[in-house]
Amino acid sequence: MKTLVLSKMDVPGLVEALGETARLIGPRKKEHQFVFGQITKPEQLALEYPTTILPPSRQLFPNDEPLVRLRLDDVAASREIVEGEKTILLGVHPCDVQGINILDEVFSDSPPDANYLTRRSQTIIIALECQAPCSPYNLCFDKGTYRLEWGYDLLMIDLGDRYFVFTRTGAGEELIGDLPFFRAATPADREALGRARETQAGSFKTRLAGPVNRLPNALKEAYDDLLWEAVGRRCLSCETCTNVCPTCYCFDVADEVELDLVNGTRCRQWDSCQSCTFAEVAGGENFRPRPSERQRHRLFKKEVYQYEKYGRSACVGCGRCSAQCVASIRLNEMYNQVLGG
Amino acid sequence: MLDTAPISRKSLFVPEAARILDVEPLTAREKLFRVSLNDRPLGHRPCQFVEVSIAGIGEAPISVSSSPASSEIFDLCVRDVGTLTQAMHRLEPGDRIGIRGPYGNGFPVEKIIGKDLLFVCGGLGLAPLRSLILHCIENRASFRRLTVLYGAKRPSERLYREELAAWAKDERLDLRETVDVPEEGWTGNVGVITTLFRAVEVDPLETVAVIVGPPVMYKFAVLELLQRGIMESRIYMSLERRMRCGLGKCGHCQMNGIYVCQEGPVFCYSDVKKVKEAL
Amino acid sequence: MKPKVGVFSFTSCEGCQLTILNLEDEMLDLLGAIEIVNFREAIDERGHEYDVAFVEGSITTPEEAEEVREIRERTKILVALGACATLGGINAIKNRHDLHQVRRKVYGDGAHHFPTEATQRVRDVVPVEYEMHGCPISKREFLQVTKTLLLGRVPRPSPHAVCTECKTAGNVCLFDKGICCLGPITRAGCGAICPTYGGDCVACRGLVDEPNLASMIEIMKSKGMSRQEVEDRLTQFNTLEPVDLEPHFSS
Ligand SMILES: Cc1cc2nc3c(=O)[nH]c(=O)nc-3n(C[C@H](O)[C@H](O)[C@H](O)COP(=O)(O)OP(=O)(O)OC[C@H]3O[C@@H](n4cnc5c(N)ncnc54)[C@H](O)[C@@H]3O)c2cc1C
Ligand code: SF4
Ligand code: SF4
Ligand code: FES
Repeated sequence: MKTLVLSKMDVPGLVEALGETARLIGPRKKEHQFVFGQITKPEQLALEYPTTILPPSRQLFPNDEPLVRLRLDDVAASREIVEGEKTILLGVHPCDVQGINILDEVFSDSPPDANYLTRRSQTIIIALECQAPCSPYNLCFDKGTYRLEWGYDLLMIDLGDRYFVFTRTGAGEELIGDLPFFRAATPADREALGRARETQAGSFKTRLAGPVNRLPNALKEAYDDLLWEAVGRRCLSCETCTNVCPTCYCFDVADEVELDLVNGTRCRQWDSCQSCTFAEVAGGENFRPRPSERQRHRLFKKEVYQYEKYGRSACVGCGRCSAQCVASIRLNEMYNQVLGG
Repeated sequence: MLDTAPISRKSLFVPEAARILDVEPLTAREKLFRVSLNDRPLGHRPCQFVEVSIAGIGEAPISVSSSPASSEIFDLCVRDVGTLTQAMHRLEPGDRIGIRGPYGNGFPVEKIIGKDLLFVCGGLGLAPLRSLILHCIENRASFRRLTVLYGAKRPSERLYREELAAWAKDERLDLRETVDVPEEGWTGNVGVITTLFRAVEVDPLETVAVIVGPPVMYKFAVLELLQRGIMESRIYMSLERRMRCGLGKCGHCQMNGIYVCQEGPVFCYSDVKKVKEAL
Repeated sequence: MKPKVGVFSFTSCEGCQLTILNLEDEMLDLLGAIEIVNFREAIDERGHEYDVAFVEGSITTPEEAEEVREIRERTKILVALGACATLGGINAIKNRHDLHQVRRKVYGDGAHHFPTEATQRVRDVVPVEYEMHGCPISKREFLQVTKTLLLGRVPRPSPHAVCTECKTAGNVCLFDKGICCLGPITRAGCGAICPTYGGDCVACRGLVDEPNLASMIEIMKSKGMSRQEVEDRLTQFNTLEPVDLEPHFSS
């Protein structure tokens, strides 16, 4: 691990240099909010952003991703489409890096998903620590996801006029190789880092009424709670909460056909356990017909099922689902209800 | 950067080409397709399924209906309910379909050797169960009594009618049938499948029961079996859920935390009785 | 033989037909795949049979009802085209009023020359295989549906809400800008075109299968909308799907 410093004045130069080596994706302003998008000019980059509408993990798991090239007249001519190009994700917040770590684990699980992993293996992540919480809903402090231990190649921490930079992987070090923008960190930089981190820690607050490690059990005890009915009455089943989630990965598969009616593509589309037909089978049986059951499933999948399978939560506390729900359904409030707060 | 070098980079979604050798209408809604993969035997276990696809139409999970012994050629019994299945019903011998799989755990045949077997199937449930029944008939000496209870809505909706007629005469197994709604010419039982239980003799300590049928059937069938003294750990069932990938990824098949496409479709009752979304 | 396709128009602005005619880029491919035997006119030539009939517009007179029945007899597949045909749409707003008064207001003294009935959706008169929603229909959906029909299957409408397409587009949600949008309860398929260009969704594609209207109404109320405003918004295209506002606004 190297410790380096990057002056903010050098960011435009860095952006240009990185853009020459790979597809550069970073936060960009969109109206009064932010989105991850391609950065072709330094001024498009908006590193000081609270959060984005969609998480950066969606760059690795794009909607309508082509999987198989089809020939309608010949199944034997089906060809896989496994795509990936060298990509740099710049300015990814710690919670979102951890969202990507979770997708990595799910898609590497047997059988490994080549479509995701190929794209992922060509992606470099330059993380950026947050200085303060981005919304009233994020749970990154409770979940410990406001800091980062692994899953990134480079990590930047804002020191006001400059960034402190940790390298974590060989790929990260190689990326900045002999770029002229970085210098070794000095004791003064280290001291500044200490101060910045202190201020940072002080600005985050606990939002949950109990420790997060109680969530799996507390939720299980609340399986038949009236909470779900109350939430279900408000939920519109619009699927926003899952579409904006950095760790949601459910999908549907459908064929698209060209007008020649000979060529086509089998693609996967983002899908959601909140959709009313998600668990419906032929014959009309629906295994989760009610919004209350679907909301419960969403929370259980995050905190119980993945905990049982992988020994960790699948909610990184980014707060997007709460912030973007039109029906004002807030994850932190639901968690607090089951934690008894 | 994630190091994925050691793992295969092959997409899981590319179907293998398979040829339809024969199509036989079983009822007004179900057709039997005899299928053969181009390059290899399917190599399935009883009660496994494949993802069948037609380019431009889509994919659907379909159980392998034939015995595992000979999987160079395998059977798919398909009811025309929607997009893929209706398109499949228009196919003819010589046409090709895409196959992924076999998927799912399949039936743990090694666990039932030496037992009395009681198969309980309703409607289309005979399609997956037939692979297991045929396996047991072929390995008859490994099992004690073989009893098959089969309930269909109407006599005309009974699958594999010729085979059922042959089974009825076959000394090696005891087939009992019932229909919900009789039609002209039907001389057999009338009533839901649980009415058949009363007529069969079971040795509760030596019996393994296997249930496959429409979702509503399971609760009643399990209750009946438990009342007959069959142990929870000896009641197996194959569960249907919506499936898109068959790979434990797409999330559609989840039953609480369980991925039915990988951990199922065959479950032991003692393992799923506490799974709230199971039955 | 190429499948025969007819396009017919009833009470509407004919904007959906225009959408089809505007498919310049795809038209040649399309004409390679289908034969359009009737377009922009009511059925006059007897004896045509169709594989697919696209029917635009609502049914507002007894004559139109008769004609659409005739089209139904002559086609294998009937696709209702656009909000007028699938929802009654704007044409159905008159159903909220006394029809005699409506007639007098529109035609003045000559009103008795112009018979009018309550507006009906095409499916109120004849069975319909597919409803292609929208005001106007989306090009993309038209092409997709046509291709699917050519492959011998009837497509199914999206089960999702417009919000899903709006999210995949990465849009800033209009609610975030203080604008009330019907995206959460409206059937997807348009690519969230209105929200993408900053306009709120007006539900021209009809509602999703299981719209949570009670919750949506409460949300609209919480944004300060009056009973009349809520009613106008919810019925603009969907008069024929009555909503009970009473429980939300009594007291
Ligand atoms: C493990 C497993 C094994 C299975 N084995 C078999 C088997 O051996 N044989 C078999 O036949 N099936 C089997 N099934 C069920 C089979 O997978 C489904 O019937 C199949 O997925 C349906 O796919 P489809 O594309 O034909 O239907 P879809 O188009 O996906 O339709 C599914 C549902 O939508 C409804 N629907 C279809 N068209 C419309 C429409 N226009 N408007 C409104 N609703 C509509 C249908 O009624 C149906 O309920 C199995 C399922 C599983 C999970
Ligand atoms: S975003 Fe809110 S209203 Fe929409 S599905 Fe999620 S919880 Fe329900
Ligand atoms: S703008 Fe409308 S359609 Fe888009 S997310 Fe918001 S409510 Fe949904
Ligand atoms: S079918 Fe996709 S996860 Fe089981």
